Amino acid sequence: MTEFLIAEDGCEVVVEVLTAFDTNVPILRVAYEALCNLGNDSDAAGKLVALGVVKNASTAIQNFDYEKDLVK
Amino acid sequence: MVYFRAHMSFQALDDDDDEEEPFGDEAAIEHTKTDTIAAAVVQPLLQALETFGCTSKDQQPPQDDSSVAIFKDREPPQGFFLRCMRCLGSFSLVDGCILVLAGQRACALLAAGLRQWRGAPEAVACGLEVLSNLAAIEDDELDEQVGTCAAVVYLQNLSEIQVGKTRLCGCHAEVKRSKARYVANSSCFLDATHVFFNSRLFR
Repeated sequence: MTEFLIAEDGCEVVVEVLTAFDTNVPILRVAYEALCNLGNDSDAAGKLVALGVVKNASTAIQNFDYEKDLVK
Repeated sequence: MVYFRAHMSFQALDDDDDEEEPFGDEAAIEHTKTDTIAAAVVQPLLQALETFGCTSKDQQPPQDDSSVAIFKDREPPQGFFLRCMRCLGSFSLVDGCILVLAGQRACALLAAGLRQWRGAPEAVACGLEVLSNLAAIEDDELDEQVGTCAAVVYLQNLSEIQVGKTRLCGCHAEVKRSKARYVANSSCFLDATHVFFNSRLFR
């Protein structure tokens, strides 16, 4: 399934949402859950890293270190 | 066999449409066949998404498509995308439905919709949950089928079943009658489908 998600902009759109809603904790929580599921596939994980998701994640952890669910 | 109906009775949204009689969609489906339900409902649902401009960058709608022409200058109704996402969310919880969704390019429509409706956080959250569910398919054999594009063959088989055992008002037929009716009808149908898929009958 992740082949379809990769081919049809699934990874890009999640990263775009992460950037657009970088102060919206409920959206970030859902987005990172989606990332978690996507990241189980090595191809999708590689694509996400290339899209800069690691920087997004580290910024979110720094900004919302008091949001335990999000940090976890 | 399960019948479910989505009836609306409010006045049509257009000024030039005076019809007020109740209207709605009706579907007769064999509820024990998850895949049949998905095939019967997913296609009109995705058609509805496409009608409101949810197209991927490499899949533009044909210019002479009457349904697209009708809605070209019209804003999508409030909450329409959210309803679509709730509906897709129900489908995405069932592995068999994910196969159907993949074959119908639901991921591309979902991505396009998330971009288009970025101003609606609730819809965005719901769309991300759908995407998350799609990525979390648990059946390895099914996942492999999706990966090898067996979905196309699968869908062709489902279409034959659909003809014999299900009846569903087509979205495009509704468009020809009234765009207002189409909007209200589709929204109501999506709600009804969402409720139905979360009912005990389906589980």
